Amino acid sequence: MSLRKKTILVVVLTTIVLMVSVYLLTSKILLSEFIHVEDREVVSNIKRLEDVIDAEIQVLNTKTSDWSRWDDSYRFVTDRNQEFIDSNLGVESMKNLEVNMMVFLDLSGQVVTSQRVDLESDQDENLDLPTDLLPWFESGSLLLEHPDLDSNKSGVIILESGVLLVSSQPIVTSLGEGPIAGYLILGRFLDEGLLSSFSGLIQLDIEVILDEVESVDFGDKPYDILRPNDEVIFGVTKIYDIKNEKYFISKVGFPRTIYQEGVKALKLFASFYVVIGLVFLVVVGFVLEKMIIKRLTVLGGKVDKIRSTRNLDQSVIVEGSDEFARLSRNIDDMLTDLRVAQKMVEERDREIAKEADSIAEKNKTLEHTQRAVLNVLEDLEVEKKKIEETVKLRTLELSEEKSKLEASINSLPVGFAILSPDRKLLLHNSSLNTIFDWGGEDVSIESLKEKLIESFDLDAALTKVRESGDSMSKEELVLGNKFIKLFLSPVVGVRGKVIGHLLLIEDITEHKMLERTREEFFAIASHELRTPLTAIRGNMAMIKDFILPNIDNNPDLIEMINDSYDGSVRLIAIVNDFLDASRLEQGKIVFKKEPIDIGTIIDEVTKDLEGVVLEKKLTLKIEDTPADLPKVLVERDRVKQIIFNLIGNAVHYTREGGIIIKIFKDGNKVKISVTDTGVGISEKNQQRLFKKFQQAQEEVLTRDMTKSTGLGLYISKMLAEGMGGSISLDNSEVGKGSTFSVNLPIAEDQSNKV
Amino acid sequence: MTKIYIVEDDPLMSRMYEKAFRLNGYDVELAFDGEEGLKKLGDMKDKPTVVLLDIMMPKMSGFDVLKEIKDDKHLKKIPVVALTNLAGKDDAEKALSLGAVLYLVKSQYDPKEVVEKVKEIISGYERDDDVPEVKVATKDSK
Repeated sequence: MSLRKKTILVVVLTTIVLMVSVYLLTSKILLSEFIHVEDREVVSNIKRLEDVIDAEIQVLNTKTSDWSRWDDSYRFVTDRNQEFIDSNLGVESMKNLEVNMMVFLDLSGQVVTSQRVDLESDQDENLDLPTDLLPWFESGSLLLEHPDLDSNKSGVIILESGVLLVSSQPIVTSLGEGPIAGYLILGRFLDEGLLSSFSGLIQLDIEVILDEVESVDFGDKPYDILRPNDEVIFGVTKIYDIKNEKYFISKVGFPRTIYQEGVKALKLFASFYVVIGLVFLVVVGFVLEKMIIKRLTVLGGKVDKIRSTRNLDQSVIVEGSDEFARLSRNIDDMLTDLRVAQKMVEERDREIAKEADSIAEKNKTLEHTQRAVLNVLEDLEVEKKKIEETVKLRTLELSEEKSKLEASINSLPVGFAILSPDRKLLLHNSSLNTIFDWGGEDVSIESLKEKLIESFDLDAALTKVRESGDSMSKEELVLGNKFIKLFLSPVVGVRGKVIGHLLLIEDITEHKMLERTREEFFAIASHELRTPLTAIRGNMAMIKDFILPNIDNNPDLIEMINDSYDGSVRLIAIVNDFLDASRLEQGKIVFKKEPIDIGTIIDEVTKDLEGVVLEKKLTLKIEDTPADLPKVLVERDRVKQIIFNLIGNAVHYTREGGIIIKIFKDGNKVKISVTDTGVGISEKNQQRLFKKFQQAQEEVLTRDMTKSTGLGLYISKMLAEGMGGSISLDNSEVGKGSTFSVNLPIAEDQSNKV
Repeated sequence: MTKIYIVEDDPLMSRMYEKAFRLNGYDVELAFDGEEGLKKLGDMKDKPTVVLLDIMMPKMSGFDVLKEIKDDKHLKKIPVVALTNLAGKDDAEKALSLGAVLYLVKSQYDPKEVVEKVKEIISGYERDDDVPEVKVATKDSK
């Protein structure tokens, strides 16, 4: 069911329910009020009836007293004269009097005379008294209880013939004097006529009922109210007779005007109510419709449309500034977001589609690749077979190579062993056996260790070599009565991992012996050669000095002695140079270096050569040395040896001219250059210059050259290089001269001055 | 006369230096090995002015003799010149550190020069009446 219908239903139902309940409530309240009022009216009407009856009884009383307080009546009762009856009593007078009966009683209750008429009919007869009335006349009856002269007994008596209003008074004189002569009772039936006069009087319907009435339930009340319908209402009351024993029911009825007015009012109200309700309904409905339902429907319709057309571009905004409008705007915003999202999704979809395409593409490519790979695999199979063939071939070659290698290793004069990383002997050669005197014994690493242990801890060495990755060599180890040289190195695999150890052991006993021999030789040579030479030289010198001056005219002897002396000097020099050169070659010489002022050395050398220079009439010049010339780090005697060699050579090979010596700093060295104007050196000889036993000579040796040994430059070179310097021929030209220079390292602490 | 005491095991050398000093007017006493050298030196009434001591000697090396001399209170004041045919600087330093005043390589000096050097020492010694300055004299090879 739609909202509209629901709303309408709800509103209508609510309104109806509301109205109905209000109406019912109101009507209940109102009607009950009316009924209360009605009740009160009934009660008052009943009262009125009672009053009327009472009044009538009073009238009757009055009438009775008129007749009872009459002398005539007084007399009558006593004498019962006919006259009285004839003149006063008669139907006419009854009718005039408007009583139904008149009964004169004597004191004993005997009826003197009675008159009964039927007032409603035209009969003129004097009727008999109702039989059931007679008992009332007996003495002792209430009717006749008149204690005093003006007492009065009146009320109602219920007879078969109907309800009788009676009044009983004692008959007394007109003056009201007694004694009571008798009694007078007047009765008036509550007949139709009376009732109708009553009705007319009180404007009510009156009914007298002698029987029980069914629908009446008096309960506690003396009256009851009957509402048989909406038009009439009856009040029913018991009216007791004079004795208060019997009663008759009198019923007064009257139109329920009040009630009906009430009902009418209510109806009016109701209709008013309905109208209001309808108006309310309409208004509410209208308002609801306009403010909510319609807009809701519109909004719903718009959203429906969006949903059905799937088109988010439509606006769902409902005009207004209330929550609804805001809701619609929010929805609109959400729709906008949705639109955007939708577009993004569409975008994404497009991208995804593209992706899907490219993936499909890639799939195709993959398939191609797959096929290609399969092809390649096939080719690989073929290749594999080829390779297997090749491998077989190579393996064969390799094993041949291996054999060759093994043979080569075995033929090595050096002991060769390969150890595994866990120090097992993998491979060894026969030379090793020889070195260790392994005969038929088991060759093992333990044996190796054991034999070496006195001078060498193989285990420790293996560990060290393995960890550092460096090789280790021991130049001299004692193995029993042998000397061995040992070399141990790790064998590093492709990835830098140590995959084994290589052990080389060389028997250097012979070599050592040779060395020793050589050393001994040198020691001996030094001493044994020099001593005789010194003796020769010394003695020759002394002969020269002490003997020769005493021998005249023997020039031959003089010359012989001189030559012998010179020869011995020269020979000593040669021996010295030889020994020197040999020691230098062996590398046995350790230089004791100290910072030296090279200038001083040069000065000393030039001083030593002064004599020769003067003799040969040469010039020797030392150019100005820089004041801040650093000291050189060299061994004093050796550097002097070099300088002496260079300057000496210069002097030696110069016949005329001079020698210039320059000293200067050159980079991180001090350079001393010696330039001479000597014979020069040819290209050919320049090659042989610093080599052993070369003497670059173009000219015949002069006497001055007797001291040259041919080792000078060779030794100088070794000395210079040994001390960290160098020596060189800068330039030379035959006939013009030569320039030699030596570079010496600067002493450390001065190099900072650079 | 000034006495020179030469301790040298090689007869060639011994004779040579003896002549050199004698012909230069010095008294010379000789010994031919370390032991004899020490004993004779100890026994001398007049101690020599200078001792020439060969290093390379059998039985007792010159270094040991030098040590003994320098340890002996009667002898330690005598200047000792160490003689050798060895050219090592180590030996020179050792000799000098043991108390020699001079270290000469025999093959490098003519006897005349040796005499000159000894003269210098004597004059220096006489002048100062003390242990003269320690000198190292090695001649360069030519």
